[in-house]
Amino acid sequence: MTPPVGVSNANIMEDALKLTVSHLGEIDVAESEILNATVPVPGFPDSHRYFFIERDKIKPFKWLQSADDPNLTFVVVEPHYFFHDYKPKFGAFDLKEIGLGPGEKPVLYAIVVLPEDLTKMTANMRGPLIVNPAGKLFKQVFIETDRWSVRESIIEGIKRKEKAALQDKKKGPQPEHKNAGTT
Amino acid sequence: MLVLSRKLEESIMIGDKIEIKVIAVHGETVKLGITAPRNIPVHRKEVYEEIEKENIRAASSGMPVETIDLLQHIFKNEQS
Repeated sequence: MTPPVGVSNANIMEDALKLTVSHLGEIDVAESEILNATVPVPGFPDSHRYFFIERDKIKPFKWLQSADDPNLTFVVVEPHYFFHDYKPKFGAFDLKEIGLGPGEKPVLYAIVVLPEDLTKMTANMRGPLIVNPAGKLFKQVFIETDRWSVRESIIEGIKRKEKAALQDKKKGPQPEHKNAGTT
Repeated sequence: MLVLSRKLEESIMIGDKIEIKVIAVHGETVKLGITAPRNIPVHRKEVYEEIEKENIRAASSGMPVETIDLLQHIFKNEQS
């Protein structure tokens, strides 16, 4: 039996969700933007669906907003902005859980804490989020190494990154172009 | 809580797929070997708790308007 036309149409049309976010009010979110946590983020067992909110004014950060709890918002960032040397390895099982094969790379995010004193902002590099945007799945994984902490200083990361970039420049074949300084 | 005594090299089974074996005992440190299917996550409890605690701290810290203004100032150069 074929389903009534009206029903299938309703399914197709039902795309935008009206969700309330405590710090932004009511916003429209496309169903296709919803990411499902394969296991709840530790500390928040009742939230399963999340979505990213991007705004120019908070770049390179993004909000990761729970679709199940208007008050649950994380500030996240892709670690490569601040940490050039962050190359965590993930188990095949974790990748499979979010729908990726062993060779495929997830998109990484670190949860960030931005205190009033921004020189003290930290990123949780011990528990990154691995995301499969195409599969709409993500989970928080734990890195079993003491190399990275849950409160990694972002300022220190930027310093290391700049230092490494400078050393690369020195090694590189191209001469350094110095800006003409005015005195 | 079930309490069992084990000697060196002895182990316990949890179900028929998870084995926890006493590998070494040095003073106050016990080294355990864990055999479990790959889909069973095994973590030191402190790591899980540390991440849970940090998640809760992060979720409650938010991003005040003043912070957003400051961020725009700091990251202005990198966005161009």
